[in-house]
Amino acid sequence: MRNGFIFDENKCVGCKACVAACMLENGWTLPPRTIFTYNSDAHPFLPVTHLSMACNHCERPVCSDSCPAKAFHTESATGIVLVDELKCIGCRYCKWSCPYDAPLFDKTKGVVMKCNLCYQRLTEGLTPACASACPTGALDYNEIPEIREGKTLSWFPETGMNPSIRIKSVPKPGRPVIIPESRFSPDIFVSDKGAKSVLSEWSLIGFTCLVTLSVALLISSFIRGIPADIELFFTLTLLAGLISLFHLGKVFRAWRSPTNFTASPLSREIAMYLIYLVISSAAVISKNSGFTLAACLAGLILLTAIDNVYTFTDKRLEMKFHSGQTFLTGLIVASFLAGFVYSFLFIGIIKLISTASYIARNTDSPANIWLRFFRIAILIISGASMVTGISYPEPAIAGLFLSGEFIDRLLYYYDFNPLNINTLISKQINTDLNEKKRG
Amino acid sequence: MEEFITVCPRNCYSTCSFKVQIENNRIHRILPYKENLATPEGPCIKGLSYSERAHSPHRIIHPLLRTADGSFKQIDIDHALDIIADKLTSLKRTYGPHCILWYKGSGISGLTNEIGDAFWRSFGGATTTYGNLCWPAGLEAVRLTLGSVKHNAPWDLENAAAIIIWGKNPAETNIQEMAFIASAREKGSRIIVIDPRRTPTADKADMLISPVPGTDGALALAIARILITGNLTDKSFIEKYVYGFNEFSDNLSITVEDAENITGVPAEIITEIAGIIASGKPVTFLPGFGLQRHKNGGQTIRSILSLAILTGNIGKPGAGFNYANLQSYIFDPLKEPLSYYPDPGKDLPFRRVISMTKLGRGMLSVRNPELKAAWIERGNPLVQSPDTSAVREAFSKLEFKVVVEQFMTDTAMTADIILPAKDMFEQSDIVSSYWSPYVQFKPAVLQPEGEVMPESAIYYHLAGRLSLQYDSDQIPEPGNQNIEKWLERRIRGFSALTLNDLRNGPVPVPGYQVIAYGDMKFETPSGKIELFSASATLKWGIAPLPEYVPDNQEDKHRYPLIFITPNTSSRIHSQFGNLDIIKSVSAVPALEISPADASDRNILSGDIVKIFNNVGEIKTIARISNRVPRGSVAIPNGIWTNEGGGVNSLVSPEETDIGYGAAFHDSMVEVMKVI
Repeated sequence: MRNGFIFDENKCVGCKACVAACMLENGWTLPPRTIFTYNSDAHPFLPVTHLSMACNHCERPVCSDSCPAKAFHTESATGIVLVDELKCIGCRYCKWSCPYDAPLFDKTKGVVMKCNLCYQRLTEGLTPACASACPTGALDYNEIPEIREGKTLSWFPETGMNPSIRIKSVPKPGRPVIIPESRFSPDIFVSDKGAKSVLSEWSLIGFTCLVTLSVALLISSFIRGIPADIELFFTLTLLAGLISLFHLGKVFRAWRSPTNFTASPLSREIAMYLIYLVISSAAVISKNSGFTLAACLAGLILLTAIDNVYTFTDKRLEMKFHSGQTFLTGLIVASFLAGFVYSFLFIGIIKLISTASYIARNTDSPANIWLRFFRIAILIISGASMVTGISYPEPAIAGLFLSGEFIDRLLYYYDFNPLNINTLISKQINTDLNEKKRG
Repeated sequence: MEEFITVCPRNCYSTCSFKVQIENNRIHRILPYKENLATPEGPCIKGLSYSERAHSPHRIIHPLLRTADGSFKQIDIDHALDIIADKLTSLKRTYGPHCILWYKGSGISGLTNEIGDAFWRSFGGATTTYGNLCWPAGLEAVRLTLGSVKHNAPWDLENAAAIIIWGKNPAETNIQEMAFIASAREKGSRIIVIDPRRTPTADKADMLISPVPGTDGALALAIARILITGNLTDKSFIEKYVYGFNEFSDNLSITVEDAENITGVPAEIITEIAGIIASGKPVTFLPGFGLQRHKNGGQTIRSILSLAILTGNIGKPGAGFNYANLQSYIFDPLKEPLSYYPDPGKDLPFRRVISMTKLGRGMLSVRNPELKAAWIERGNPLVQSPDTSAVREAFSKLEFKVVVEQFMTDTAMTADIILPAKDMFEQSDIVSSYWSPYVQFKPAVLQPEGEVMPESAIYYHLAGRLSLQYDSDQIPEPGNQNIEKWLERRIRGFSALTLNDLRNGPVPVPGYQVIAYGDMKFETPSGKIELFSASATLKWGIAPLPEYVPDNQEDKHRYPLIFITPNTSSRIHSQFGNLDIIKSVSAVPALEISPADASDRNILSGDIVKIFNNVGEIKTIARISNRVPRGSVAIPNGIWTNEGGGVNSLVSPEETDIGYGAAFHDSMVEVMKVI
């Protein structure tokens, strides 16, 4: 047996005493504990249920694995997963990885914070503040069975991490029958949670695009046997690294980021970038073809490492085959620059299929769909130009082609959606609403 | 670090016990106290916020004097008391003591509040209020029917086979009760919520019935008719314990079809609820206070109570009508609701009274003498009084206002002198509950901040400056030891309780009934449960039988929306909403409007809207919500004006049919987007 949170869905009314207690105990102005509410808009066809959750102090915490800076550790005696404020670089990769939305980015400090299980209280023989404060007894902290039995909530993220929480759910969470229904419908309101803005990730978009260009430049120059433009190469490659720093809450701790390369895909990406930087610099300066070949290989590994950063947290197949991933993009840009028609067409068709299948499967916002069609059109025009030789390789068509690839990358960030409890709740509501409508 | 057992003294059902840890004169932690069987899991979010509230940087901890330019200036406490003493002396000499209004709210409860009474009595009297803004119509309805106001112990709810939560929202206003409801539900109890809104409580129910607000009486009487015509009553119970059954059953005129037309609840559903009430065995009714804040409020409560009586759901485990449980109110010479209207003849020359509900107009209209000054403690009438603009006008006409407050409330802002009020942890007291059977001791565990002086000490020093004659037992000398001695004397003779018993934790009142009326003794004139009450007619001029009196809204077409101003989890009326921790975990106060009504008015969430009627107008933020039904809008009461509140400036000052309560919830409004 080990200790963990025990939550009784039947008893929780969503009062947030747990959230307040957590903040007061630790003197925090941000709330590391959240009440996740299924149907927070109180849609009349559906029940409203809550789940109070902070960090679940998982047995195999993905935050710890994903952290490039080794800022997380698990206390062996208690099982508490802690983040060290002095080691955190503020990259927020743990926020992407954690499906329970537990880590919280503190903008003023530039680092991530999370539930510390009130270790100061545990040593005094008290339970964590949240569990102690719950006025209905919905949340408790006590011994829990080692393994969770069955699936307890339809929207609880299932992982192999063994989170230290056991949920007692309402057996049949029927909604209250609402009478007269006419006064609560039919003008049903479900609030728009706001379209996702990819612009907040501008530094990551910049880094990945520049690195992709850099690798493509190197490969194409190797294929063509013409040395790469030194100035262009260094501008792309060094600017990429520089821009990536803007993503961090703590820039001066960036040196920590390659330290967890054995476990963290992000750490591996950064380490690979540094290796690529060294080899490719040597290649470009020495103009040695052996070095250049090595640099091309390192570049391709780097692109794979970049893609892996994203597919590690968003494991969906559609992300693995996404048209906007850097590996495919790197290869098609290299083909374009080198004038390799067959490889261009081969990769181009893969990208077309990927984008088209996305359009077919997802009912997206119209603007977004048009962007995807636009992107397809650019790819076809660029391919036609290459095959026929019309306008190829004029700067105009090159610019058009590259902007198409850039759109693809933006869409990649738009589509990127790591496993997360909030997404699962939205999905479940949509599924349940559709079911009600059909039924 | 020291740890104490204490009690929350707010105007709230739960009256939670909790433990407080003190370190260096600061609250270190607030922890649950398990031995209180009604609140074993500890206080709500407001109780937790005490650690901020006691030490808040926004607390007023020095007296403030209004200067010529209208701003406040800090003065020392002796100076403040000198000014007040001079002013009181000259006002009394010129106009007599009744030119001063002594207004007290329900901000903090405890026996020491009586010390103010003693002061003003020895001062020669004052103008005071009668009635109560909160709950008296329902109290009087229960008292007329059952002879006293009590119900089963809170934990007995687990034994109910069906729970009818009628106009109460314990998830926000009595959260510990939700634990018992959850247990009952787990055991298979049916939970029915009757409420216009889909409250968090309704989310835990099997069924939510949403009648038109104010029509609950019609719904209840239609159910009563079904119970009687369908032979679903408990006849032996009625025969033994009920007075006036025949008159009651002969006069039931509201059919289920009528009720459908009045309430909007389909006839078959009304019949279904009747079936649930009849077959429940036992059924507990949890009526709220909101549904009696109507002009027909007393009769509504009597009507709903009749359902518990007809089905024999009184005096049994798992049964009852849980309006209020005054079993622990053992120290009051006059229990609520009687204390709201003591015989003024007996109390002269001390009291001259004006209506609590009609405060503003009352203040403006009294003569001989006119009001010249006001002393306000434990209350915030400029947010909580109906027809708030009239109260504001009346206040502006006064020469002198003293407000005893902890924070810069709307009322404090109008003061000439603000005296810093004590925090609950700064003075010992004894607190009873209107839900659980406990009497509890609240120890002083913190030294008062700054120059904070408890009211008892303020009154002591003023009495000295004014050379008043009083019994030294009535106004104790300052110092908490003296207060505790005073408390000791005060409770002597009431049951077997001593202060030392209470120091060890909450004590259930000796001899309290876990099952109220289990002895089937009713202190009514007939000695039985009175469905027919001659006293109701005699005292209040209403029908002796429960009846449905519709509220005729003349301006329904001009102001088509019913204005609901409920209480929420984040505040007790106008308290707590100013604290950072409360703000950081609760939604910004807003007017909730149904999608249909919002779209009719082109209102989107986040829009600034004007809410108005013939009484007043306020501006606030709108939020589209599925939780309010079409035809009603809702915004919590108690929000300060600077937060976009002040809802009571839209409420006309009308009293309830019985008990001198305020009919807050009969207001109709229109809402318009502010461009």
